Amino acid sequence: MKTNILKSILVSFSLIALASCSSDDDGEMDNVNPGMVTIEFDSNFAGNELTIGNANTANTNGEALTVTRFNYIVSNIVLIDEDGMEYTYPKENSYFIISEDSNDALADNTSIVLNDVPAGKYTAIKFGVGVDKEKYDQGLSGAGDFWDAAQEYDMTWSWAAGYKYINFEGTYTSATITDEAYKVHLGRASDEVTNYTETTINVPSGSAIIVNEDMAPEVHVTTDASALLTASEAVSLEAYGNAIMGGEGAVKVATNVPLVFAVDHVHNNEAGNSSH
Amino acid sequence: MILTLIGCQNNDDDGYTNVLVELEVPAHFPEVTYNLTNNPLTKNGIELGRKLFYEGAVSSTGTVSCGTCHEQKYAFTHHGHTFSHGVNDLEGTRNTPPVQNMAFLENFAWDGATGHLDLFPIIPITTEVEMNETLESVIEKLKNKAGYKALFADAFDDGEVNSENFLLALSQFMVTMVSADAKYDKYIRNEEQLTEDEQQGLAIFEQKCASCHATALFSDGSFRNNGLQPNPKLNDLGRSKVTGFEADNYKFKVPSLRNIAVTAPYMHDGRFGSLEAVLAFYNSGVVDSNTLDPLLHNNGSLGIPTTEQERTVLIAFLNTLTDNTFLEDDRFSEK
Repeated sequence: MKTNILKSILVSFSLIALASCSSDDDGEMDNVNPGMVTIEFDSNFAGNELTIGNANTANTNGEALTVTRFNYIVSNIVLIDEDGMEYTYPKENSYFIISEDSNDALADNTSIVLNDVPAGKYTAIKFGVGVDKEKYDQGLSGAGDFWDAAQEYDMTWSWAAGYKYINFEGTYTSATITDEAYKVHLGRASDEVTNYTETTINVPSGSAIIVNEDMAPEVHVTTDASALLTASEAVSLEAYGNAIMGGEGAVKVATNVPLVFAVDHVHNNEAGNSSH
Repeated sequence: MILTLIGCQNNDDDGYTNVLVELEVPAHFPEVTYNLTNNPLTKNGIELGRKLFYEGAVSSTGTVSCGTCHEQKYAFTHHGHTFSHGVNDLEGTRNTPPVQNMAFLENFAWDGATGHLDLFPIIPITTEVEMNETLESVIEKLKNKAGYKALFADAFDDGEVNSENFLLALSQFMVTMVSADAKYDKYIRNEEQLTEDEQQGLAIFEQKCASCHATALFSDGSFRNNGLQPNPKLNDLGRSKVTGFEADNYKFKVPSLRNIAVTAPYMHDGRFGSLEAVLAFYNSGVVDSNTLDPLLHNNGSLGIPTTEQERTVLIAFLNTLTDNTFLEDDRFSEK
């Protein structure tokens, strides 16, 4: 029963786009209790923990990577409930930098907090990796803080002014190469080749992200850095001269990006009791 | 949109009113590409942008402003320089393009390194051989320089001296830099006649040049390899440096021909000193390669064949694209 109430409330929220609760057909508005959602990005490397600066075992391309920087932009977050209704987090607040970096001056960012999310039972998350064309076309209007933060985390390109969507750097060793530096920088190449991708990931079956004012759910998303080069397209660093910043290599990495992410589990914590 | 405009008109607590400015779009121009709703032009915003355009603090040495290499009387190019000098007399590898009609362009720089005017200034500011600065450091310098706090406060709702407002002000100024009052424009508006030579030149231009140098901007904005023999010392790959695709090797943006008579030297690397040399190149100097533009392949011959007489009248026509109103407009000058 409670589920049905939450559902109908979510629908009305979607329709009136968070306008104030002045009118309400079913008289249940008292139960609209928006809550917060935390999304944790837990990085790994082919299932093992990703430790910045430590060597990983060779990937399926025969290249063993030591990652020194794994930064990316997560954007345009949408929560989808069990009936397929979508709640789009306000676009102007929906750009985040996730960062794990060997540069100690930069604080790691591995979580996102969404506030005022309509109460509901959500079973999937959709988000973009990078900066979409609409945002790019807005230029600097309203982008000041985000641009500055992106610059601080080396997520901007100055020579081809724009955002880096992914900044994935380190060294690697293969059968023919020993400890050479590599750089994978994904970004917009042109209006036609934007390299911006979206992904939709489901929470494990039987589970849900329960949002209301009494709850403070934490969603644990795993991010497999190895999959960037292996998930669907095999991208050998050596084949691209240790640097992938555009062209075919970037398009292949962008194809892999949606496959990098998965929801591992959800903690439906009560508000005030953070856990894990 | 209306709300934005109203907000802008009453932007100050102390009763000061910033005045909205409407961009005058010439009737024969293509549509404006710059999003004026996101960054509405205001008198104070444009004025701040002009001041920043001529501000040396944007460079690491405090000496190189945008206006250093973009000189108004040469349609905001660097006269007499194949490549321009940046800080510490370091030299770049491309010829300074004009700053004009920026509100109508899709891409910026010879290789289209950015698709947004707001982002463009970041390129010269951060390039080592140009201004060799960072945006953060420029903003810090401006905060500490007399006058800027008040100018930013008068120009923007939030009044902050920050990178967003800095770039928006520069865009506002550049958006107003419209060149549309050359003899050619007066001819289009039925205000002036072309001479016989100029008319013949226009006819040949439309036949042989206008497929790339299209619209009233005299560029279709595309990236093409026009058959220049690459300079082996630079081997500048052009557009493919940005996109990473070999199919874009040696392609550069088709330049506008507005004010072309005053923007020598020509081509992305400034290799030709005169329009005669440019037309001679198209007549007999085009070099074939994998990415040569198909329009420069004609029944087995390369380039754009012209007779000497045709080249003479073409240049007579190109001279009608010089817009002295723009070149002398004190709204765009350092003052």
